[in-house]
Amino acid sequence: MIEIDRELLQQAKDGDRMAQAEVFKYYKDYIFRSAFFMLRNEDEADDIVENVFIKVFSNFSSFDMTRSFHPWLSRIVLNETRTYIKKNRRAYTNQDFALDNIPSRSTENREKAQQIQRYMKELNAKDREIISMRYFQELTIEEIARAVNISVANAKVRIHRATKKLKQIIETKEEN
Amino acid sequence: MDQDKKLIQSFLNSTIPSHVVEDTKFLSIMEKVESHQKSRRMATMTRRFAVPVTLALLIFITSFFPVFGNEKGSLIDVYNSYKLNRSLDAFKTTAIAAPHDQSIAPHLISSLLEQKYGIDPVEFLETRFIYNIPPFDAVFLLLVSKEANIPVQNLVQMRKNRLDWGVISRHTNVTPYQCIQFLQDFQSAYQTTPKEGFLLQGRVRQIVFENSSFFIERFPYPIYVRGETALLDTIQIGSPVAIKIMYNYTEYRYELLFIEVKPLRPNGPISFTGYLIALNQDHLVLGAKDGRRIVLKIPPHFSHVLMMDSNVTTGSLISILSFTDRNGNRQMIDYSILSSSDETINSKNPGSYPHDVSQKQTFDDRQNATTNEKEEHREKELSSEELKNEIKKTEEVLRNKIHELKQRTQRLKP
Repeated sequence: MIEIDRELLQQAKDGDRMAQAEVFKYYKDYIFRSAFFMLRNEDEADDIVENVFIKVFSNFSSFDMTRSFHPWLSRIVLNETRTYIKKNRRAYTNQDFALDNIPSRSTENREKAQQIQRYMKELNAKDREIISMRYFQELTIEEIARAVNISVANAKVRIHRATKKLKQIIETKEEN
Repeated sequence: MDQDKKLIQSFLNSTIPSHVVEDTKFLSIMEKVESHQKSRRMATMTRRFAVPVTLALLIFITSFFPVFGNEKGSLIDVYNSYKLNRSLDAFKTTAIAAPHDQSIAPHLISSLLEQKYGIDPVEFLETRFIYNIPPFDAVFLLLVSKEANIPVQNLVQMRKNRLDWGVISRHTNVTPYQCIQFLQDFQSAYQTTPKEGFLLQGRVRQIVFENSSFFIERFPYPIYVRGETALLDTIQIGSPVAIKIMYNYTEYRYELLFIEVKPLRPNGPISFTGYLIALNQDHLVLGAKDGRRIVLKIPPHFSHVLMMDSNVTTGSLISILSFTDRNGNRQMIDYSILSSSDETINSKNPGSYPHDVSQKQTFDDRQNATTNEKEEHREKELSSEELKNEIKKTEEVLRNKIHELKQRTQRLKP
């Protein structure tokens, strides 16, 4: 994902409402996708989007403009999602990837989505975090390591394992 | 790799619904941000003003009002107590470890108090024995009492009333800093005293001409005379002397710096030897060889020790160490049994005294008595015949009492 214009970011940091609206528009879907991938629930992902932006705009003053905005935002998304899961732990253990949560309109689409959900079940929360950061948020290995607070070598191993699992899922899906 | 990445990304995107977050959400987010910032501002204001003000108020109240009770006082008192107790503990630990032998510590303290602070050694003895306070605590009490110009017994009473040092320091107007300074000064002086020399007073107990040394009462080590060995000719066993000695750290012995034959302090520690005539919780009557009857006061904490000692019976030959307090009472410090009453009665010569010292002390006490009228009232001279009669009478009374008690117990039996 291409980083947002630094000037616009500076204006948003300074409290310009228009610039902040631009930042919101630019990142809202990106945050939604990341959150949804981890939570598999539209409403919850919506909540995460809201919480993340509240955090971003409330703590903009603490953001160091010499650094990249993207990893900072990803870290907030990760923390918010983790907090959300922790708060609703019981719900997640009981109905992790509940098929009712699948967002589809038509029956055909719904069946397809259900199948995907079943495959996704094979990925645990940590794998999903890593995949989300690597393929949705497009963070570098170093940025992922910093966000998850692990060593670069460990991040590499975890990315490799999660990707391997994901590839297996894709292959199985294609075979079917 | 890139192809892999694209493949995975397209797969992942296919798992995500084509949901669009509405732009209107921004307004609700901004409202929440504003309320969040408002509450944050409030919290900051509280932190910035309310908390310090409350804290300052709390410190002010606790600093000047005895919120910790009458014994502990205010916060400042508690802090001062803590500081003083720490210093006192450190002082005791270091001071106790300072001299090479603890048995000489009381001598060092007495000498130092007299030389450096002008405190009468008798005050030290009083504090130690009448109030039963350990030596180094007694030193601290004496130093504070001197600075505050109040009697030690007032300080002891305050401590008995469980007042902490912080509160005492406020009452006496002696700052904790001053107290700590006293302790530090005393401690440094105490450590150098054995080397620089300290004063002792007592009677010569033994002279060893072979190695030019002599012993004096209550001091356990020989005192060596360096160079002028003729000094030993000026003294004899029983002579009352005032000496200054030092510890020679290279030869591990005490050496004489100065000697003067002079009467012992009238109120200083003096030992008496005599037969026990009477004993109760507060007093003890001793019959000396020369016929004097010596009345000695027993410190409260000491009376039960004496009463429980089965060797202390009427007629026992006892040596007692004592001093004269400010009120003129001769106070007992320590005692040793020379022979029990049975041994005394069975011996061929029951009236004989094993120590020549008693005679010397009597001489000295007579000298003191001329200067101290109170002594005259307390020491009534008796002849040795009268003394023997007195002992017999006391024994008779005791026998009668035992007989009465036996009869009573028999009557009480069913």
